[in-house]
Parts: sequence; structure tokens; C-alpha cells
Amino acid sequence: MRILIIEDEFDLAKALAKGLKNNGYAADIALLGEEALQKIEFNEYDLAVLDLNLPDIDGLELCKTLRAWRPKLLILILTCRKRLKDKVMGLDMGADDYLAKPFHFQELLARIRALLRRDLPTKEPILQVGDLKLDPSSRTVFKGNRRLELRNKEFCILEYLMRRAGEVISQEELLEHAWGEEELDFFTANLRVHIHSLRKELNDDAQNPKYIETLPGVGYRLKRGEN
Amino acid sequence: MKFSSLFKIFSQPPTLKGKLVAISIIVLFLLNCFSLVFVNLAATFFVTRYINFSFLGEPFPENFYTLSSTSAVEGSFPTPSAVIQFVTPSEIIEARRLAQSTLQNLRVFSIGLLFFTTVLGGIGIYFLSRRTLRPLEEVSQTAKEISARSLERRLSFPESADEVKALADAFNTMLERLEKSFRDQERFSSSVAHELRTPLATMRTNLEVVLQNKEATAEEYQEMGKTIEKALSRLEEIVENLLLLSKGEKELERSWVFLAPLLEEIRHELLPLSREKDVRVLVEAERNTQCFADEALLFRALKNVIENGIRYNRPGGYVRVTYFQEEEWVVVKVEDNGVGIPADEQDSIFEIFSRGAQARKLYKEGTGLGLAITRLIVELHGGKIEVQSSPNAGTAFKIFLPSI
Repeated sequence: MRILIIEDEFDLAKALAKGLKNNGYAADIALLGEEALQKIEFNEYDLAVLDLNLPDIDGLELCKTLRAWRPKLLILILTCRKRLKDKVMGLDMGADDYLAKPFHFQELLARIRALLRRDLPTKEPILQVGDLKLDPSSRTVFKGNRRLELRNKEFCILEYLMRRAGEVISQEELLEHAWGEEELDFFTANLRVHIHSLRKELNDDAQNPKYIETLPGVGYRLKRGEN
Repeated sequence: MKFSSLFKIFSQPPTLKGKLVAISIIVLFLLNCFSLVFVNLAATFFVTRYINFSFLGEPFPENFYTLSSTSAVEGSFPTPSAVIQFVTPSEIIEARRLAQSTLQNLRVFSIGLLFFTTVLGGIGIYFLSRRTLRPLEEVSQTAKEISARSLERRLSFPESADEVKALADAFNTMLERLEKSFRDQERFSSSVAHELRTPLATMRTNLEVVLQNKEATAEEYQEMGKTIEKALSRLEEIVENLLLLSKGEKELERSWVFLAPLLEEIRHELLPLSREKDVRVLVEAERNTQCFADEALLFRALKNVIENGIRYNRPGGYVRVTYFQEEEWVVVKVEDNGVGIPADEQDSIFEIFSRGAQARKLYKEGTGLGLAITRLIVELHGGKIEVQSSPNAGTAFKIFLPSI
């Protein structure tokens, strides 16, 4: 899942990005409203964390613009404005959630998880496909009763595939949603490597896959488990 | 029980309406009393005289004899003693009794009338005063209902143009002032809260992100420490400036201050910054100018302006400081050839926490308090500050300090 942090306080944005990366999200930073608009134009984000006090664009206006541009983008407002009026305005401008500063990082993570659940057919906090179980809050994956040891990116890829189980996901899309801007240097080979190690961890066979199917020239698909 | 409740009514402070009614009733009662006593006395006097004249031949008009002495039948007019002879005592007694009872009736009627008019008048006055004073009650009712949350409410009495209306107008004006100062206060504290929360949020997030990561390296802890240190200094700076902003005029410690050494000291303190930014600070010294001011605060006020001139400038730029006597003012002029201030921001640069987009870009760590403090200090000294700026050409601040 890829998150854009729109926040003019660089030290805070940096810490947020780091914390989100530690928790298995891909995160980019935009320090200005203009920058945020550019990044949203070129990249696919699942969620935006938005500060209302930006130097160039009014946060509420930006929220409205983002909502109009990307109807499916989840927007979480993270701001110093604590008044009821601001909260109501923010949510009415199209934001999905509102969190006032100073906040606890744990709460932010929990709210992000809750927001990401919205697109799922089921609102269960634990993702389940066949005998695979993924818990975003503790960042653990179980295959049956066996706990899998996944690295950050593998977890990220698997989470995205599980959220869209049964759908064909192109390589580009997977890259968009699992990698942040700074990490994109190695490109596709890197994705193959990660899929390969993920399969290995899942005891999956690329020729006769039980979990991750490769559709040459198209992308990947996580099989909706019958097992 | 009854007595105590009666006592309670009287022990309460009387209302204006009560006072008006009571005073009016007392005045009405006394006036009635006087007029009725007068009517009764007059009636008694005239009736007595009339009886005495008709029956006893007592002279009624004072000039009776003088009148009669001129009459043609002098000597034939009956003397009083002769008259008595024509009237039987029983007739006199009857007449006196009749007069007595008439006078008594008059007295009873008077007393009745007195109470009747008093009661009727009292009721009339009560309703009249209630009608007159109702707007006052409305004023006090509205005043009770208005709280800090509903300060936008106003009293309205379009129908009258009397003292009550004047009171309501005065009340409304006061409400307006109160509302404005409340709004200012609210804006101020929400800005303060915002400015304080930002570094707090930075500190907390940095801490929590590193603490949550079980495998955080010493390097990451180092970095977190540095970030938190930075946020802390910012907090300290804001708090210190806010304390400065709450200073009052009484706290000024005035003395005669020579401007030349003061400006030299400021220039010296800003030397590292001006070197870093490659901006020259030129002070055109004039030895004798001095002003009666709080030295530490004046230092602060001038330093803020000069520092801004350095920060919002370009490499190779300059800040020129001149000062001179002009009428009753000592004028300090701080000019630079820096980036200037956009026209639409020039009005708000002296407001607390106001920062233009350009200012934020050039100096992210600024608090937005510097010029607010300068203006406050200058105004505390009885002076004023003016700004002239054209974007991309430069800015000139003129600080006027009273020369005495």
C-alpha cells in the first residue's frame, strides 16, 4: 500500500515516512501543495495523509481537488486545527478521516489500517485468502498454522495481492503500490526477485502455482483459494 | 410564617419599578390629602359662616355694615339681636345638625375619594411604569442570555428614541468591542496552539517511530535526538517570544541610549548570519543621536528588522541602516535590496504568526513573531513603525521613536 505524506514540516514528514516504511507501507513526502498535486498526477497512491496548513495551497482546497481528481484515494487529514468546525469542514470536503496533532503514531497506523479496510469486500481486520491469513496490525502472515517470515517488500506485495485477490495485477501496478519514489531504482527485476522469494516462502511452484500465478506479459494474480 | 414572608418581601432590595410606584403613590396620596383637607376646612368655614349669617345675623361679608350704612332705610335694618328673636332655637339646632351631617358626609366622601383615587392612581402608575420599564427588563434579559459564545447577539429597540434606546445603543457598542477582543483572543490562542503543536507533533512522532522499531540503530537514535533538539529549540524560542509579547508599558526600564553603539552591537551579533547569506549590513553612524528607551527591548526591536533584511535577501545584497532626528521623532530607517514583500501581505506582516508564502520558503524556521514584537516594543515606547516595499526591489522600514 502506498501512502503520500503532504506535510510542510520536514522533520515530521520524514519521521512519518520512516515509521510508515517500518510498518510495511511505501511512503512519499510532499512538502508543498503543488508538489503533492504533481506526485498524485504521476503516481498511484492508496492513501494521502494531509496537513491543512500548507505554505502554498489551503489544505481544504487541496482536499477538494484531490477528491475530485482521484475519487478512490483515501484522505486522512492530520492537522493542528482541533476545532469542531475544521473537523466537520474537512470531512465534508471529502476527507475520509481526521486526526489532530499532536497524535500517537500507533493511532495513526490503526486509522490507516481501518481506512484501507474500506475497499475490501469484508471488513474483517485480518485478510484471508484460502489458507493464507495476513494481519496488517501485527504484520504477521500465516499459511495454515505456520507463520511465514516475510521481509518488508514481500509482505507489501503479498498484502496488495491479497487485497485484490482474484484480480490480475500488472507489474506496473504492483510497483506503484508497493514501492515509494526513492526505492524505484532497481525496477522490474527487483519485483521478480521479490515474487520469487515470496513463492519460495509460500512453497509455491511457478509452473504449477497454488497461490501466485504469472500471466506472461500481463501481470500476476493471487488465486482465490479453494484449498 | 406570613409575617416572615412579608418581611422577606421588604427585606429584598426594591426594584426600580417598585420605587417608582411607591414614590408616585405617596406623592399622589399626600397631594390628595392636602387638597381634600383644604376642601373640608373651606367647606366647614363657609357652612358655619352661612348658618351664623342666616340664623343669627352675624355679619357675613366683612363690609356688610358699610354697605348697609349707605342704604336708604338706615336705622330700620334689624340688629342681630332682633334677628334672633325671629328664629326659634329648635330651628337653629336643626340647621346646625343638618350642616354637621352634610360636613360629615363630605368628610366620609373625601376619605373615600382619597382612597379611591390613590388605589386607582396606584394601579395606573403601576401599569404605566411597567410599560415604560419593559425595555429595561428586555435589556437585562438579553444581557443575561449573552455569554462568551453568543456575543454576536445585539439588542434592538427600533420603536423608541429615549434613554432606554441610548442605553441599548451603548450596550451594543460595548458588545461589539467585547466581541472583537474575544475574536482576537481566540485567534491568538488558536495560532499559539498551532505553533506549539507542530514541534510537539514532530517530537512525538520521531520518538514513537524510533521506539516502535525494535531494530533501530544507534544512528537512527542519533538522528532522532537531533530532530528533537531542533524542535525543542523552536518551542523555547516561541515561548520566549510569547512572554516578550505579553510585556506591558510599566515594565519598560528606560534610560538614555546612544544609537551608534547599540546598532554596532546588533551588527556584530548578526555578523555570522550576514556572512552566511553574503549580505552586507551598513550602519551610517551619527554619534550624538540618542533616545530615552529600554535598551534591551530596543536592541530586540531593531535586531528583528535588520535580521529580516538579511534573511529575505539575495547573496550580494545589502541592509542599510540610517538614523536622524525629524521633528519630535528619532527615525531609524532600515532599507534592503532584498526580495521585498508582496503587496497583499504588507498589511499583515506585523500580525502575530503571520508569515507569507515567500517568507516560509526562504526561512522555514521563522516563528512569525519578530515583526509583531518589534511593533509592540516600538508602540510601548510611544512610537510607530512604517513599511514600504516593492517585490524584487527591496523593503524599507521606518521606525519612529519619540526623541524625549
